[in-house]
Amino acid sequence: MRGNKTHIHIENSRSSVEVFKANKKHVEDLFARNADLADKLDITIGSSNYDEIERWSKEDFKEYYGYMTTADILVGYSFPTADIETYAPNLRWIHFISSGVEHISPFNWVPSGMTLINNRGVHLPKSGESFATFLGMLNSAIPRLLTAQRNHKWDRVFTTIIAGKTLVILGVGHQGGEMARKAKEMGLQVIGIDPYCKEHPCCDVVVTTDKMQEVFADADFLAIAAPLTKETKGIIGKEQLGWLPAKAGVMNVSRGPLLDEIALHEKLCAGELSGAILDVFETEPLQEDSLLWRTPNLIITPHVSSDDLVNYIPLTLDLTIENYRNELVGKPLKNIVDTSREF
Amino acid sequence: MKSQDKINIMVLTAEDSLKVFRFTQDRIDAVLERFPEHKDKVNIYTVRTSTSFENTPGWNTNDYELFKDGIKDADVLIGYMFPLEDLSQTAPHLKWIHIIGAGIEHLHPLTWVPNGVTLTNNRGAHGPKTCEYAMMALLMLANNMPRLGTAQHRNFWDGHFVSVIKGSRVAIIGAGKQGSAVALAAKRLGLFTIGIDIDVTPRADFDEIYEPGKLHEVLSDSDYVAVTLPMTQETERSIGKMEFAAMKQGAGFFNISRGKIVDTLALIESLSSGHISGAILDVFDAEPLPKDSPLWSTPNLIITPHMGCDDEENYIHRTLDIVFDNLSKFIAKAPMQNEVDKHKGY
Repeated sequence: MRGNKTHIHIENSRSSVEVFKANKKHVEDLFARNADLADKLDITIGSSNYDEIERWSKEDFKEYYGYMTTADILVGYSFPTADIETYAPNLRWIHFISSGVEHISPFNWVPSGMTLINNRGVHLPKSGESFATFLGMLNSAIPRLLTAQRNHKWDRVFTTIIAGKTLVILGVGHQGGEMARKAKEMGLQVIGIDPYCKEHPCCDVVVTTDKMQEVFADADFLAIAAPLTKETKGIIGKEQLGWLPAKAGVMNVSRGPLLDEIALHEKLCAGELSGAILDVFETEPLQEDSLLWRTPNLIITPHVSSDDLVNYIPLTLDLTIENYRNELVGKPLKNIVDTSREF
Repeated sequence: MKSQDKINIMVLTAEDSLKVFRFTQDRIDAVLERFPEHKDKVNIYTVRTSTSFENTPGWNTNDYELFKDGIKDADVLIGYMFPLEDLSQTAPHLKWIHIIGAGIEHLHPLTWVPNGVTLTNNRGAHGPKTCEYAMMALLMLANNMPRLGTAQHRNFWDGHFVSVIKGSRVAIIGAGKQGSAVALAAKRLGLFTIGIDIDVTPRADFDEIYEPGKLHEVLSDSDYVAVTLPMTQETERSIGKMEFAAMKQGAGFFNISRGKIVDTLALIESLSSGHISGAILDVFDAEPLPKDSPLWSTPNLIITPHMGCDDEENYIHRTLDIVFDNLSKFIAKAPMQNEVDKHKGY
């Protein structure tokens, strides 16, 4: 608390891209949207030089620890986890401005009673549009056509409309669910694969992971949308890609390590898949000498499919406020991270 | 071949027709199933030449014989390109020609059309595929795909973020069938749609529609620009330097109608200077695009080889649907759908 106000501290990283940085204007706009909270909340913005704690300067730590002596709620991505109970005695919950929180696992540093919130859902308006883009591009053979363009080749391939084709989505969480919703709007048949979710309003069927081979056989498109955990790391390898028919197109929009990039490269070179779009990679940024830049029928987008330049921080802060209001009336918070599952 | 009491329909196709444009017996049988009421009224025969007439080196003697032999009995011709001269002599019964293209500038000027023969085109056959392609093109421009494609060619991780397309504005130049398919796509994505057309009658999916005199004003206030005009003397090179200059800084551009409507060099200049942010072209001055065309390596441009609006599985089905929808009107000697205005040329 600061005075009699609840203290929300936002910790930015100056090395981060604009889209992820909160500024004064964001906070002003937030209060304009929530005029009733003006005398209840004190929102501060701090900033470290880098995300990586090892690269924080003395001043970074000093400023951060200063804010945290009174902070009730922390909004950020990266911070020192050691002794958090001591340096932030009032801290009740931490709102991560990312969907994935694997960068701060394992979670044995989390004091009991402290809640972790992630940002799943905030990406949806933007990622929904990106997913529709990628589905359309895979269906219209755009990966193949960009390869042809690079080779100055007029490769007149004709395609048919997407309605009626089959999309398999690995992981039917927030992101996968939005993918399913978009696909349904476009008239696709949607099959989800998920170990926890048994059914989904936008999936024709959701199957468990052991049915993967069966559902891959009829897929026109595979979308990888599962979180990165111990279980999902490397889940799509050479064998699994081999279960897909040659007409299939693949996209990965969640985390690079779920997919064996080399196996995908080989399948595309051999013409055993029709095309692929990758937004995420094992290593980001993708190194300049990566062979993926020249993989035929592969389109590379630099991890930009989900983050909305204009709306990302406003939507994030709206979620913080929604949870603050939930807390006030004793409702459960949204987007609580299950630390045992790591998402 | 000829039937005395039925309407004789000659389908002109070629051995080298691409699958998307090929008339197969299956596809003909399928339309007869879809229109059982017409099944007994028509006699459809297919004339299959060795190559399409417009292809070089062109027809051989046998192809000309096949055509002459087929056309002499035809009441109706369905085709794309064929010898235009002396049709009134070679085709004494011909009353209707259906062209399986939406743009028919390859047949201009239309002075060869014999008196009493109605010409129809294929506008509308492309609808669903055009709508899907337009939706993709708009989304690709919104997501800076042309820029990312250029970056990929340079092994460059060009990480930058964009916002959603919902709420943006698109100018659609030409509000006919193709323009309307683009407008429908844009409305589905939540855009505000502004049409430019010589006919400013309000129509579905256009929030506003203005005459060509307002073009520059509309361009200056649009995030996206789509070219969906027919190719005529008036529209040739009508999108040039001045028009690109009038566009908003950072606008996205796509052309899915005809290459010659756009001044290619002006487009290249606008892209290279960064004035417009990206473009997608499906049509070109010369097709196939020559190997040495500067377009292949123009930055922030994506090239698709004139495949955007033609649905491989459904194009011929939809073509035959247009013909069969028109048959009752043809029999009743009533005006048909898609009649070409011989003076306007489309």
